[in-house]
Amino acid sequence: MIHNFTGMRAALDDADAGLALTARFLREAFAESPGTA
Amino acid sequence: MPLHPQAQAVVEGNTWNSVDPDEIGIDALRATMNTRLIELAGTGPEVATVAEFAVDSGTARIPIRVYRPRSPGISLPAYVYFHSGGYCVYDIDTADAQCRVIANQADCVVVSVGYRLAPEARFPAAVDDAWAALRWVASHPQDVGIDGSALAVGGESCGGTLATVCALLARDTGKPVLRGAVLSCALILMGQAQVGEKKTLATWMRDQYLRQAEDAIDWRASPMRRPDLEGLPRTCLSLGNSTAYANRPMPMPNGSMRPATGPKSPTFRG
Repeated sequence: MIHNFTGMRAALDDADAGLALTARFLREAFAESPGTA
Repeated sequence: MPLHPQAQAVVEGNTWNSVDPDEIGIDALRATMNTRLIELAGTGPEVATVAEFAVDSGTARIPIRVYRPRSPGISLPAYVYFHSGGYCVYDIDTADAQCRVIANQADCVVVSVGYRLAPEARFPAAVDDAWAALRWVASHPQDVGIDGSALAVGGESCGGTLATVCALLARDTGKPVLRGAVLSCALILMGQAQVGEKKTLATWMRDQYLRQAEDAIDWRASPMRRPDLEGLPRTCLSLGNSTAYANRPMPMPNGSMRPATGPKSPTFRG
């Protein structure tokens, strides 16, 4: 139950940090060539 | 770690803690929880375009929603996203706001996948749909307006499980090549039903999703059971600070046990 709650929490505006982390990670991942991770 | 007061207020008023799904039924459960989440998430920011497609997963046609942060004409990277909801609730509408945020902030196309839900569609239907959606996106870059060589997957909770399984399938089959995976509170090891276990909404959802108890040890439900987790794309693992395993050593894809928080694991207060 707690697990699912936190899944929902990440969808909330209060979890801006989580979305920002996701966006930052994606920008960095897309900026690199495949296989360079 | 105590919850943020706003988070605590959500917990106390949360449907998770206050309903008997056997009593109200799946339709009412979805209506209640989906509405609640949409209210909490808000409408999200504007994006340049939103388009709907239908993907054939073999036994069903599933909806996907494509968010573009900028006007068509430029091929952008794509993030294929799987929503949360214990395989039973939530959908692409409940994920709408955050998909808009990520599209704008990451400057990429976000593809939100409306995989089938339990109990109508049991394991491994959601896996089949998720994998079909990823392959469809990879094979239709012009339709979606993306750079097919720049793909990532991700999701929350059970959506993180689906993303993990897709990353493993992509590695196993050699395509599509993924640049990254975002696993947010992913359920990577599902517990089997136990005699006398406390009934919760989470265990109820598990029992709606799985065809039989043994499905819990299938790697497509518990991808951490795969012995070969090497060779996955770079991965962002995020945990809520109230998860049972936060601040504990956790198994990593390379088989080691690392602390969930540390110098290379930035943490954000919820």
